[in-house]
Amino acid sequence: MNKNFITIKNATKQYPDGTVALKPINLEVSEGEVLVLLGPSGCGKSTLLRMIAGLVKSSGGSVKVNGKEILDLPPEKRGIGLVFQQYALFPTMTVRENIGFGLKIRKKSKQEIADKVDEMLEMMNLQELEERRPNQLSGGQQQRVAIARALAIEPSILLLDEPLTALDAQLKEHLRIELALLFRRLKITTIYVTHDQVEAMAIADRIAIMDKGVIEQIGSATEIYRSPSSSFVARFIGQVNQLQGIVRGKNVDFGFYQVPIPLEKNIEEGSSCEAFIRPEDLYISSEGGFSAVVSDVIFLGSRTRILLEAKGNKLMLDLPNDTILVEGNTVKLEIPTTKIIFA
Amino acid sequence: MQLIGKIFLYGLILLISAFLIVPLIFTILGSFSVYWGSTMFGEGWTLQWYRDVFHYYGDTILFTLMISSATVVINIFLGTITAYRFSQSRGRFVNLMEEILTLPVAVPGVAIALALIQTYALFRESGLLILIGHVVVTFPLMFRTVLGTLRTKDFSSLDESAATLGASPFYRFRHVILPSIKSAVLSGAMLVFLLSLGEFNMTFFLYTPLKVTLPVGLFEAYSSLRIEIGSAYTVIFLVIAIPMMFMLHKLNNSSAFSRGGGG
Repeated sequence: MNKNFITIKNATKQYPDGTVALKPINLEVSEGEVLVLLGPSGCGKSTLLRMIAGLVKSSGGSVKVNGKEILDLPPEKRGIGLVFQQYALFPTMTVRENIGFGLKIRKKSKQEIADKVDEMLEMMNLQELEERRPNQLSGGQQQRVAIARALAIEPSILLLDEPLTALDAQLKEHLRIELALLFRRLKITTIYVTHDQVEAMAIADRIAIMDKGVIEQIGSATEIYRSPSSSFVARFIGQVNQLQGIVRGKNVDFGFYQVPIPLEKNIEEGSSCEAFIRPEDLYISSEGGFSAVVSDVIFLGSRTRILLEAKGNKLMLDLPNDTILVEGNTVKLEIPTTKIIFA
Repeated sequence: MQLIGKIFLYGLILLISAFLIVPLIFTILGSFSVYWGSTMFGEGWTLQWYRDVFHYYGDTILFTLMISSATVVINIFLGTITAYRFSQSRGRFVNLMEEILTLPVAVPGVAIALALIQTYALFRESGLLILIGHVVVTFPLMFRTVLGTLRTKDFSSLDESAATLGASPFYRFRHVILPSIKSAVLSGAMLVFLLSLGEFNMTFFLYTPLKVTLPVGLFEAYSSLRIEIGSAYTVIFLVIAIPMMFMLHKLNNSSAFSRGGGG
């Protein structure tokens, strides 16, 4: 397997009015990998995707696919499949014609087109809808057609730009899993743009977190969740308790609790220090490190979130949904030092 | 009080409609009357005036239909392609160009005619200048109609998705964009045809004795021949124009429906 199937070097985008959408980006994607570009809106993730597709002109740098520079090719010569947020199906064509569009342009024979379209219809479970037009389909069906259409041309890379964002929550969850399974089965090199972290974690082999035109961190979902490289990443992925501490000797003092500084961290005595702990990593212990008062209990379905106050510090704690804690209770809590994230 | 208001309103509408329609009815009646004097049909009815119109103005009718059809064909190409290019870009320059291209609507026909004669005098004799003038005057209608539709939907992402699937710019335009804006192009074409058919202001300064269009001919008929011939002429004109207007109306309704059904 080619480790550097897509190689992006110093790719930048600056608009004529001076706005910088992408600062020099460096990124490598292996063959068959599913990379998710994750970030808030305006972070440059869609710009990067559209640049790879050829719909946005780069202001510099290089993008190579399988060793071949593609930045100087028009989109129609790149052989890259792209799925849009708003599906962008051709309204005057049937589902079958939509899926066969790219093959017709490639001058495939009628038989070849019919076979390939049949294969796609079956793969995406669209057989019964083949003669419908896009306006007779639901959002989820339209997006399945769009994916089938992009895959029919057997693209070297599949790009998806927020493909599930326009769908309602339940359908989104269903399609998210369907897509994750599809990508794993097809083993096609995929770059997937989303602002939804749950979607990213379900689908990605690796996630690249972007902010303000820069890739902040790349890694597997667990890596990014467990050891975020910056406070932006820590706050963006999952929920965190933010702790503000001061270094005293070998410890960090958070005001209500002290923890030892990890060995690899080199922080000056007396300096302030930011740290994070995830709500599910705090635990109740009778020997307890510090006490906190329950200020609110929020039922979230699969779990219950407890809002706490410890010496003026607000904390969140996630517990199983059968907890008996109520507002006003005092609990003893422990912070496992290995789970603390130092920014 | 409300009832009186209603009666007043409907009465007013009826009055205005009558005011507009009665002359039309008189024109139609007049075209069949032997002598349209104080007695109207006092001397019987005839088809003579229609025969006269076809005799004197048969060529004019043909020439006008040719000019209007050619104007439509040219503007389908010019207007649609220009609108498509404009829909793909935004910016101050594009907005300015859009205004300039719409200018012929606001400029008096006389001014356009004079400018054309000054610039392209050599095309005048062949009647080609009339065609050029009609294309210029009707262009904004086609351009605006198509541009309006192109901007209502996300045509740029249709174009982009066709591009990533391997379609060349021409193929995209021909097979993706054009079929989606067909009804806008059609209604633009009909507007262009109707405007060209009825264009008088500018054509009056461009025509030559051998190359006359219907409205100019009508003016001639009213001013130099009998009023009954002018009436017959008007009726023939309406027979060409009215079906077009109904089709346009129907087209607008159906395209509004298909726009609502999309998603």
